[in-house]
This record gives sequence, structure tokens and C-alpha cells, in this order.
Amino acid sequence: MSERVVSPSQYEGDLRLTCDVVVVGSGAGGATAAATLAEAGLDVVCLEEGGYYRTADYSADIPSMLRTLMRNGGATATMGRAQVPYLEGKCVGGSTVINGGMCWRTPEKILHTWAQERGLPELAPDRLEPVFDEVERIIHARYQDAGSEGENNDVFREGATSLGWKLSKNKRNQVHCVGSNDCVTGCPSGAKQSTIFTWLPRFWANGGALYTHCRAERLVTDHGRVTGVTGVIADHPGGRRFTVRARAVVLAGGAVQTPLLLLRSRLGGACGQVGRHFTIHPNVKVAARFDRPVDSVRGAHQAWQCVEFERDGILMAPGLVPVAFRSVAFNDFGPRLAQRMRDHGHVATGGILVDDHAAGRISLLPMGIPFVHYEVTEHDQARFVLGAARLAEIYFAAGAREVFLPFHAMPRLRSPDDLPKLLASKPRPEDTEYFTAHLMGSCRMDAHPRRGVVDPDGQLWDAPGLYVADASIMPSTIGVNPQVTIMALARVVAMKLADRLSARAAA
Amino acid sequence: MTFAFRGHSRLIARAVVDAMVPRWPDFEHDITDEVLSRVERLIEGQPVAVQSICVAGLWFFEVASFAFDPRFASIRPLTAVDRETCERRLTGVSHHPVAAIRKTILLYQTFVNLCAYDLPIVEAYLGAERRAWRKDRARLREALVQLDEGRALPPVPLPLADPKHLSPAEYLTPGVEPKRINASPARREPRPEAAEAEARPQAQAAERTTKSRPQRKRSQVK
Ligand SMILES: Cc1cc2nc3c(=O)[nH]c(=O)nc-3n(C[C@H](O)[C@H](O)[C@H](O)COP(=O)(O)OP(=O)(O)OC[C@H]3O[C@@H](n4cnc5c(N)ncnc54)[C@H](O)[C@@H]3O)c2cc1C
Ligand code: SF4
Repeated sequence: MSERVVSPSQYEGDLRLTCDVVVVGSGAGGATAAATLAEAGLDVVCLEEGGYYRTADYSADIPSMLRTLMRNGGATATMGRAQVPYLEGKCVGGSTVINGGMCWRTPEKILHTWAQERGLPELAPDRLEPVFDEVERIIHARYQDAGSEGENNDVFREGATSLGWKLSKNKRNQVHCVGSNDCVTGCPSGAKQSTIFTWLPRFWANGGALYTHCRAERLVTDHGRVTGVTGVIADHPGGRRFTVRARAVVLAGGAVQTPLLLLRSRLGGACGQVGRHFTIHPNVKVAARFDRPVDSVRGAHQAWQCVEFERDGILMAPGLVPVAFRSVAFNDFGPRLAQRMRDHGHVATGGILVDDHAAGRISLLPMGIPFVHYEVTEHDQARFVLGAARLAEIYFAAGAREVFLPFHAMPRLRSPDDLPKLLASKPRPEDTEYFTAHLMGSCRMDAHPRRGVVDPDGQLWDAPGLYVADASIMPSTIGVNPQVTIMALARVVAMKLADRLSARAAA
Repeated sequence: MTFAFRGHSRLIARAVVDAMVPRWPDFEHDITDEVLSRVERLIEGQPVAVQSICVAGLWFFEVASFAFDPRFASIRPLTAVDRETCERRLTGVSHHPVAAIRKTILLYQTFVNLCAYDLPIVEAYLGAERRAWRKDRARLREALVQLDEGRALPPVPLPLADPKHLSPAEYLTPGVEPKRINASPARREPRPEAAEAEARPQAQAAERTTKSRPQRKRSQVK
């Protein structure tokens, strides 16, 4: 099977294409939509701003991988009282190349809310179940090979089990994840099933073509209907441009880039919702030092989640990351950090994810400068503190000697006796180190044109011909890792679009 | 576009990196210049506005960081004091009670730590040889995938590996080889990647649309 990947060095001058559907972005949403549309017999072009890198290209040099695979070299953050750093993939495969591979379906209670409160009965659990089944089969959502988990996962499981707290085993999109612990800079063994291994081969096998280094800048309209997209050939000299004309345009640039593209094109504005309701499912990191060794090199990123406090919107999980990323977890540098890092082989790392209730906003400042605003609410902050205390309990129960926290005023707990002090200390958001990788909801889907940007088919309420099929259409935050939800929604949007275009052609 | 600190900014950047890189009594390498050039490569990947903020931040440390030295030893610029003083001042910034002041150093702290702790000599010193481990794992996975070719694979979500090939206790042992056991002649399934590569239209969407499939016309470069 040939990979129909076209890079700018394969053609000269500007690029002009016509097709049935052009999809912008090749990540979780874009690749799923592109494959689904191509399988339906449509002529589909997928445009991707980043380059095409495969397993052999994922090197061990972390700084160079950050630059190669991520937007702004991974140094992106939301603005607000607290800044929340986030990562966005910018390469063929999008964020699925750099993600942790955890596969969770949308919780049923969320799907019921979407069906009832947002008027989206097609997203009810029974309607989406076959789509989830199919997505999970295609992306190989499996439990880890026994023995591949490693000690960082083991101590977490031991601690939670000894407290009698409920654990859930992660499914991950992987084929023999051998525990190399490098998910975030591209899986070096080919185990992680990013869209490069799953949806994109289906897309190519059905005649789809993917153009790399094409940064979409504006949507093209004709009498109010969206008829194409135009932009620049990125990272290549000469000011070359591209224009793709199509019967329909599907945006899948992710929850930050998609609203920015709409705002630049002045589309979707009638409802006043573009860029709003942006949620980020933030998390904080915790590290724990043990007397016994805890292998920090070997093992899988995350094999378990503790769902004991899921009702309260708190998820806790181990998170194995390479030593260089661990160094960032301690909020220190120089000799003091060096001393701590000497102990890395006795340190377990994990995190707390909170199902956030804040609504951030993505907007454009003068001169087209993107502005991503998000405030952690007091309510969510209280859950972070509670979550950190619970995670510390897990580690103490497993035998930790001290636990390092992400709170400036209380960076360390020496024993479970310190837990009441932590709970009483009420750290402020600006004194907390957060991180996030789950961006969603900035162009939400809703059955009412004033409440959402896209309709139940994924089409913009006020821009016919323009669809969105990525994390931005999520009607609300979901409280679990989002890639399976995004793929399921993209599949639904693309199936409906395929039907619509086919019916129109037949008529 | 390439990015490099120039002139006096370079001296400040070097002083900052020098104060931030890890040092151990029995670690003999001087990694400051290597880390500095890696930090420059990371800053190169930022939008121009962020690059300017990075340079402006250096000048803030140069002229104002004396105020954050808990010992308040001198008001000389950062580039004119010894490494210990420099480190004390920057630690004072990074642990300052006012979040806005702490944040001025966070980007450098993150970049320097990532660039330093990822160096092979540092990883080797810490006994965290990731590069060798990655190679070992790629080899193991290839062997496991080959073994899959002769057997019926369990459906999702079950784990793929057969513990008879590789026991859980051995799975993370460097250099481990999975055992070949006689493949049952039953079903031969293609390996998952190959199956995907050969995927044909099978989704409901395809089935539902084949009857009214539009004339297939491939996109063309005009
Ligand atoms: C570090 C990390 C870990 C994660 N771990 C997990 C996990 O374990 N489980 C999970 O479920 N989820 C995880 N996620 C989240 C998940 O990967 C994302 O939510 C998901 O990939 C988002 O899908 P998307 O299609 O919206 O965007 P993306 O997958 O990010 O794809 C967007 C693509 O569009 C391209 N693009 C953007 N703008 C343009 C433009 N103007 N022109 C052309 N192309 C453009 C981008 O380059 C990118 O390739 C993680 C994410 C990260 C970053
Ligand atoms: S832990 Fe290693 S082998 Fe497993 S998916 Fe991540 S990078 Fe790949």
C-alpha cells in the first residue's frame, strides 16, 4: 500500500487542488474524518501543517523532538491568574503521535447530558456504542501485555489497593507496548497506534492524499457558502501558497487552532460562541520518594487509573516519563535539583486530573495574535488540593518517605500526618503548577443555533459547507482522556457528511 | 529562522545556564555550553514574540536579580558575580512568594532542565540509559510482532502477548528474547499494522453510501 503523502519538495510553485472534501488536520479528529469520507468513495484531500515523521524519525533527543513534533516546541500556555502549559502535536498524526495512548469512552452520564441538555440524541450511549466498538477495534485499544507495566505503575496499584480504592485498568491504543517510556516524543518501537498506523492507512488505501506543511489560514466562501481553504506552505522558503476548492471543508486543527481559523476567516460569529466554553481538563503532578527502588526508565506510561473519586471529578493515575521530564516536576534547578535527581531510581511519579468547570476562551488580539485564556476556579482548585492529598495517601500507603507537591507554599509532605496541613493550607491557583494535554470544547456542538457553533451534523450553523470534526466540538468537558470521544464524534460527523454529499451527487 | 543569543545577552544567558545546570562532585563534565546551545535551539522553535520575551527576561535577571538574593551580597549585575551568587539570586526569583516574579524564570528553568537531563552523559551518570533501553525495546517488539504472525490474536481489549512467549516477570528485562513455541496450525492472522495497511472499506458509512456513490474523481494538482 502506498502512503499518499505529498511534501512541498515534490511540486513546484503554488498548489491548487479540487476535490470533494478537504480536511484540515490529520490528528485524532482529522484522520478519522478523512478515512471515513474516503472509505465512502469521496475524493478527499487532507492538509497538515506539520511534517511526516515515522518511527525511525523519533529520536531520543527530547529538545529536538519537541521542536519537530509540537507547536512552538511545546512551550504553549493558557493565560490567566495561573498559566497552564499545554502541548499540541504539529505533525502528521497530530497529538496522537505524542499522547499517552489511554483509551476511555465518554462516560455514559456525560452522553446522557449531551443527548438531553444539548439536544443531541444521536450521541446517546446506545447510539454511540457501535461507533466506540469500531473505533477501539481500529485503533487497537488493548490492555498492556502482562509484565510491561513497570514499577512506577506497580507502586501506585499497591498503594491504592491497600487503601481499598477502586482501580481501573487502562486500555491503550498499542500493539505490544514494550514499556520504553517515551510516549510523549513519539513511540520509538512503533507500538503506539497513532493515526499514522490506524486511520491514515485506511485513508490512503481508499485513494486519499495527504499534503504536509500546508498551514490553512483562511476559508474561501462563495455567496455565503464555504467552498475551500487557502493558506501558506509552512517551513519552506519562497512564500508559496495553496488553495483547495471542495464541495465541503472539514476543520480538524484541534481545540485551539480550529476556533482561531474561524475567527481569522470571520465565520461562525453569529452565535457569539466561537472560542468559548473552552475546557482543558487540567492536571497537576506529584512525585514520591521511596526507600526501595522504583524503576524510572522501564515501563509503560500509565497502566491504571484510580477511579475511587470519579464521582467528585477527580482521577488519579501514575505517569511514567523520561528522567528529563521528571526534572521539571520538582520546580528547582542547579545543585538542589541535582541532589534530588540522584534519587530518581527511588521516585514514583503520578498526577491528578480534574473534570474542570471553568470556561476558557480563545480569541484573537489585534494583529491576529492568538490569546488563550483560562482561569482555574476555586471549586476546581479545591479538588486539586483534595486530589493531591489522596494521591499522597496512595504513595504513603505504598511506603513513600516523602511526597513532592505542585504547590508553591507547601512543596513537600514528610508523612501522612502532614495531610491535614495540606488540606488546611488552601494553595491558590497562581501558586500551583499545572499542566494539560486535553483541550476541548471551543466550537461546541448544540442543537440550538444560539448555544453552539456547529449543528448536530457538525456543520457550522451559519456557514454551510463548513464542518468541524475535532476536540473543539465536544459539547462539554468529559472528565476522561478524550481521543476515543474525538474519534467517535469525527466518525459520526464524517458519516453524515458522506451520506449528504452522496445523496446530493445522486440527485 | 535560526536563533542565537548575541552580544551581552549571550553572556547573561551563559551565566543563567551555568547556574542552573546540574553538578555533582564526581561528575567531571562541563555541560554549560552544550546546554546553552540546546536551549537556543528550543527558543528558535518559539514565535518571535516569545523569543523577544526570553531575551528581555535575561536583562531582568541581569539588572534586577540582586534584589532576590536572600543574602543581598551586592548590586552588581548577574554577569559580574560568581556562580554561587548567581545561583542564589535565581533561586530567590524561582522561590519568590509573588507568582508573577517566579514565572519570569520558569521557562528558562524548564528549558535548561530538559536540555541538561536529556544529555547522554547525564543520563549515564544517573544510571538512566534511555537510549540503550529504547533500542532494546524496539528489538523486543519486533520479535513479538513476528511471533504474532503465526497465531490467532486475541480480540480487543485483551492483551496481545502470549505469556508463554514471554513471561510477565521477564518482560522488562534488558536483552530478553521471547520464546518460540510451536505455532498451532489453526489460523494465521496478519500482524495488526499489515491488517490496517490492507484495510478495505468496511465501515457502515461505506456500506450505506456505495449505492449512491458519486463519480469518483481524484484531486489533481492544477
Ligand atoms: C502529551 C499528550 C498526551 C495525551 N494523552 C492522551 C491519552 O493518553 N489519551 C487520550 O485520549 N488523549 C490524550 N491526549 C489528548 C489527545 O491526543 C487529543 O485530545 C487529540 O489528539 C486531539 O485531537 P484533534 O483532532 O482535536 O487535534 P490533534 O490531534 O492535535 O490534531 C490537530 C492537527 O491539525 C493540525 N493543524 C492545526 N492547525 C492547522 C492549520 N491551520 N492548517 C493545517 N493543519 C493544522 C495540527 O498540526 C495537528 O496535526 C494527549 C495529548 C497530549 C498533547
Ligand atoms: S511506553 Fe514506549 S513502547 Fe509503550 S507506547 Fe509509550 S513509547 Fe511506545
